Amino acid sequence: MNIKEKGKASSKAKKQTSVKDDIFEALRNNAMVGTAQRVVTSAVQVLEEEIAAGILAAKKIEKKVIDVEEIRGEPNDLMNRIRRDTHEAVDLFLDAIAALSKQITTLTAASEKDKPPAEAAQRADVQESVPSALPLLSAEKALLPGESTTIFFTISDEKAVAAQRIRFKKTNLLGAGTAKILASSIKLEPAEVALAVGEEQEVAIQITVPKNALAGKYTALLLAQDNASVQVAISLEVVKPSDYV
Amino acid sequence: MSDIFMKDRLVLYGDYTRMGIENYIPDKEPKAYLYDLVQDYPQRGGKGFRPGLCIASCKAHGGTAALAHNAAVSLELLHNAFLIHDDVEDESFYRRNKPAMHRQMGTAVAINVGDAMMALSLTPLYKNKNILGPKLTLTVMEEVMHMVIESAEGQAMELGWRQENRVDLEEQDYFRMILKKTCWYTCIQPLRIGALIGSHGKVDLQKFDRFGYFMGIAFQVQDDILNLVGDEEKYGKEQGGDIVEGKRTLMLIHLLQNCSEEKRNAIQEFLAKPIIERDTKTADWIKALMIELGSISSAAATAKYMAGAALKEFYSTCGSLPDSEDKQLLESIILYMINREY
Repeated sequence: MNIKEKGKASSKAKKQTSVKDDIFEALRNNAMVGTAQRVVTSAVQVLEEEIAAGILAAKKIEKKVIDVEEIRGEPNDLMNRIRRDTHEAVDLFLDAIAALSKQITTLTAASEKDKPPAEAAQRADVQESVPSALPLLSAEKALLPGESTTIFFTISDEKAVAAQRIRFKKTNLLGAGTAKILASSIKLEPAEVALAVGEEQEVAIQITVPKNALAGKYTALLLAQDNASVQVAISLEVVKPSDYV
Repeated sequence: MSDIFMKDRLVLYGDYTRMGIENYIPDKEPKAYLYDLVQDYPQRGGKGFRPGLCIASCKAHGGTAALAHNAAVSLELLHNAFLIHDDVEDESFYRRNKPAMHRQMGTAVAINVGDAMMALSLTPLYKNKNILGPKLTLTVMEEVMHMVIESAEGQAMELGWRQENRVDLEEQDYFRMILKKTCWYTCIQPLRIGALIGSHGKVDLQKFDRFGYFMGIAFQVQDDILNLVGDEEKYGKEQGGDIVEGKRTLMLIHLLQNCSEEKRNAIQEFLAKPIIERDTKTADWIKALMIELGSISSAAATAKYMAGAALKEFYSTCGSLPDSEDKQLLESIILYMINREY
């Protein structure tokens, strides 16, 4: 990685170098390091929460799309039927949509294949090295503020050739708008897993809903500190006491 | 890379993209109230960040400008459509040193031009199938679909805050809104789309998320600072316009968190009025308070931190790419984000 300025740099380039130096100099200043670290960490947390929420929303849409297609039958038939009465320009656009829905169907089918069996609704097998399949863990029932729930899942890595240590980290549970439940409300047991080759381990996620939590659906992402392929989405619904009866 | 060379390169990619826009505007009526206006905002000359990032990312990953051309055209059409609608929603007076489109042509016409530009942006994406093949074309379309919906969500967040006259927002709320409203479509997705095309779909796109996100925050915070203290002629919009429009910038959020309750109530009262009734005297007082309480310097520091974080991400995500002018351009843009005057 070469970050040096070239020797023939113009005066403008020199000015630019000083801006870069200025940034790093600012970050070197002890008084600023704490603030910079806090601000950047705070920003990263937002990004992770939003990506988790986005993945979850996309998976829900995929499920809806495949349901609609099952009801309506083969999508291409529908496209062809419409196509007969449409203008050429619309025809071109339909081609794109047909191709797109075909791809979504393929993606959804792959996603369905990766689902855990129905009888193990509260359990998910988290297999490493499969980053495209994001397991979704949902609480069995909606919770009232102050209530707790525990969700179990198992983790294994069939492709591993050596033992590994998996240290979990979690994001806040993110609800609608600015509603959130802090990550500290999620407890993992064990918080760290030592996984031997061919071994499968069970992990419990205990979530306690704070008494002041707003009603609504929340999602969080469970990740491993040193392994980007470990990604688990957690979903939870909080209801008001009046909604519960 | 020198500042002048970087700007020249951005102008070059911007012009190349704008030429492409012409190809996709139908040569038919209605011209006066639609197709002639489609070129209005692009011809006013923007900074060219989005097409610049997209094309530079494509070339840095082994592609050519021609391969990324359609995607850049689509991004620029969408960007300008957003600006037209944004100006209506914000009740802005100026855009790039000229009256905003709705001030010139009326709100209804402006909204319709924005709608048409969004529809027109689909064609170059569709045409990509002849250049990139069906698989990559669909992947690029998925990127754009995500970008558009995130932008709309971010705009909804900001409009909602203004409608509810929120004064309890925090720094993280701002980051979330800016991630959605600005970062995805200004930085993250142009970088991802360019890399996707340049590498023929082989690159891990996630690595651009933090890079583009930090860059996007630095860009937006600097933009908000320029709106307050920048040279009005260079910046192209009325100075202090964001205060009058009630935008929840990082500076306003900082000010509301750090001023006395009495002053917070006065600001809230000012923001509760219809825009037309918000006087410049109070807006100037709010700006003076921002200076006095360090809101502007705090935001400038945040922009620097984010630029520093973006540089770090750039070195780790793009450091292994072969050296090229376009790789240098990506690095230079980060610094330009916080050093620019317009």
